[in-house]
Amino acid sequence: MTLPVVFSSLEDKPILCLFSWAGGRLDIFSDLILHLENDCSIYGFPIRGIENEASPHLTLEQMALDYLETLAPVLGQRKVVLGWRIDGR
Amino acid sequence: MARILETRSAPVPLVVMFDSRILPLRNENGLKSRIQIHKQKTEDLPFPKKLGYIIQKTGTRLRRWIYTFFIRRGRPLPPFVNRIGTITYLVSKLYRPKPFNGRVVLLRADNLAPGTSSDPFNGWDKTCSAGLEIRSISGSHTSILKEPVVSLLAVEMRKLLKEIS
Repeated sequence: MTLPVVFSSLEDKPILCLFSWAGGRLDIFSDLILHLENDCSIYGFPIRGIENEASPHLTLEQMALDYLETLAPVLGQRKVVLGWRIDGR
Repeated sequence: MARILETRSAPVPLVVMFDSRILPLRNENGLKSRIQIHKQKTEDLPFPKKLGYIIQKTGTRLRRWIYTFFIRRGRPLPPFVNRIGTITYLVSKLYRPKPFNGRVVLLRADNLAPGTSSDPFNGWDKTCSAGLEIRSISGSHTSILKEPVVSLLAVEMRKLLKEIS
């Protein structure tokens, strides 16, 4: 299971989940997070294996299932906004 | 992920894409124009760097073929392909999204890099059957996530969050 990085946790606000597939690192979102940290809960999902020896997901579907398993306990009936970035071109 | 949440009856009021694009499996540009793009990129480079560029591009193409071959057969990848940088590039390159019925907003950078497709939907119009909304951000693919342009992106995000609250 891949653990998310919690940048902001506001129980009454929607959850913004950030993914970056192309570069894999969440620091590309750091400026955006500073702007939005009081508007929503922000969870960031790094690519598995980017910062340790874990083997990477081999498809985006595998990744989605893994991340959802992680998110399930905090989801409840809260609204989820998925923000993602794929492709570095 | 949004599609999986939909099937589990979890509310996903919004998917936001930060200038994401679906990469064409085959380059939309013809061979001639692709060669032209590579020529442009390398014309000022000294020979050793030019050679390095060609080797790097060939290696990427080769690893892509190998990845596709092994993944389609459900076999484990050989170690020289199973590297994080290679995998992330190949997975995104070969990803074909399935239709999604929810609301999708593409925050699209309006400053295109040379060789980038000028498709105003970045390839997402065929996938987002419920309607894709495009909002232009004045910046490039890279700059829209950095100061000072990111503040424009944040304004749009705030509006979107307000709309769903």
